[in-house]
Amino acid sequence: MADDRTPNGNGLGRAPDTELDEAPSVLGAAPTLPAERKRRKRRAERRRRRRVAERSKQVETAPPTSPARLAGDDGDWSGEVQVFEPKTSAMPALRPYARSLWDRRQFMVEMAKADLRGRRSSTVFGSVWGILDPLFQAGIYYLLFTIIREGARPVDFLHVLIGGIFLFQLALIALNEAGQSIKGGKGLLLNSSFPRAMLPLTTLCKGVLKFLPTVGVYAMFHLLLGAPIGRGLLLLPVLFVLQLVLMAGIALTVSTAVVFFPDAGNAIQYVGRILFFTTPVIYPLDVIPPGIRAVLSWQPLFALFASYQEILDGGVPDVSLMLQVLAWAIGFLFVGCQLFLRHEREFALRV
Amino acid sequence: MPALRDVSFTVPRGSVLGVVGRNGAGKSTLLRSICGVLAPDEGRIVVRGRLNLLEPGLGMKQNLTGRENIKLGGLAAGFSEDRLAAITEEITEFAQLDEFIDYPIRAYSMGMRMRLGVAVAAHLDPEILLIDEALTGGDAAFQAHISQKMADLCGEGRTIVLVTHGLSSVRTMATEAIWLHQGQVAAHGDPEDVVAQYLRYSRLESMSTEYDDG
Repeated sequence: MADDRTPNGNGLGRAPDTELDEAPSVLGAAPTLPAERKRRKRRAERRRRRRVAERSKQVETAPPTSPARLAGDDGDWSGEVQVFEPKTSAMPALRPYARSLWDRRQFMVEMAKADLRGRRSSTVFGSVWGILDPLFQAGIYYLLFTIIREGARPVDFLHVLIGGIFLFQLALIALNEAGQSIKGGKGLLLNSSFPRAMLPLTTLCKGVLKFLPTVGVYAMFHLLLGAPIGRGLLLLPVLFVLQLVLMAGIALTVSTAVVFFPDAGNAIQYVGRILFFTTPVIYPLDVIPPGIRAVLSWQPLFALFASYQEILDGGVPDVSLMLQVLAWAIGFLFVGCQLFLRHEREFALRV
Repeated sequence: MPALRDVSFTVPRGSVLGVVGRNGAGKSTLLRSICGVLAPDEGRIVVRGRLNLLEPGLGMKQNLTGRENIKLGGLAAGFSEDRLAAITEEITEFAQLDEFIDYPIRAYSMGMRMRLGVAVAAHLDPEILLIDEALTGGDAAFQAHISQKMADLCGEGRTIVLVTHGLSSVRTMATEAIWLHQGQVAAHGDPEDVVAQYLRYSRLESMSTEYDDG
């Protein structure tokens, strides 16, 4: 029975017992006589057989209560074969990659929930801060805007401001937290093999979970402030999905960049701030001079937030604006996937 | 500079391969290469079976409870929630954590973390279990416990690769051993022989250090 155990037959490696003899030469230890070598080899082989035989005996006597038994328990195996070859920057096959991400969706959601729980437990108000923080920000910018505009249009912009800040905070997660997710997930990265895109996507998932309660809070403000309810609201889910696609693209791009150029991590906060002030979140679209608007529209988040603003204000965004959002989302996702998937095998070496 | 050079071997199913060597010899790199975390620069690694790498502490979330960590570890390994619920008690019992399972991991001692890590990895139905330095921290009772579990796993046809500085673990548990030195296989074969060669080398080296110092 002991001798039935054969190597996996993958054609790798030399026979174990030959290495015993080669070993001392590697380290330059004293050479041994051929007779002594043979004797040692026979002794080692006898001991090896004895051990394997002992293990085999345990197979027969092992209690059947063990929780983790292979199918059939007769040496069947899952049939999983993995071959690891020198790293290339070729794109992996997308369909199996997407499937293996999909298989881990429950893990991503649970991980995101667990992270949020952990964060909440360290403050008295816990998750309420997720809502209070953007509300305070909206209050401050509203005050600022009222002062600058000398009281013009103060009330009818408040709901747009609140909604815009909630949505922008979500968008920023792609840059900040998801961008750092590969570096931050070092432990997992070195500990197991999984599609690496799971890390930025888990962070995005966390962002969405954090965002969901703010939808209710916004709806309340929208109604309380008597904001218009137009048919454009029906487009909100479409825009939101496009925002998630855009965020995934940004997250994949930034997280790859941060791994290869750690300095990018420092630049992120400034990029975030520039994006905030160049996106129509804290000011209405109609205050932007046309010349500046033409320049700003080349900013990835501009078209998205301009569309949001139109919708929250009761209007319907132009088709061209919506097409711009679509183009940015698909473009970033394409670039992000190319960068991330081509280089993800190098991440473990670089974090 | 490559961490491993010309390392080539086959591990038969159902065997325990012990890997010994000094710090920086390439032991952890070897395990990470086997489980696909690090890609080789040359050559090929073929793995037949579901893998589970265990490096206590790594991958566990410090602010989550033991129970939550079990759930996350299980989901990452592709277990369903129902199946995890069924084995959580068993893992808790194996890790001897009792009521501490609902405490955050950051409150655990090193030994408790190590026990939980070993328990999770051993119960997640691995066909190949890669263990890095896990067995040197536990007390004698747990060592005996884990030895039995490993024997059970091997008995079921699972394969274990055990990287450790605990030479007695290699002697008692391994069916084969490898001594890695400066990224190369210095010896491969019977655990007693490999450990003896490694010890002889270590003694020679410490003697030469003393000589140099003197």
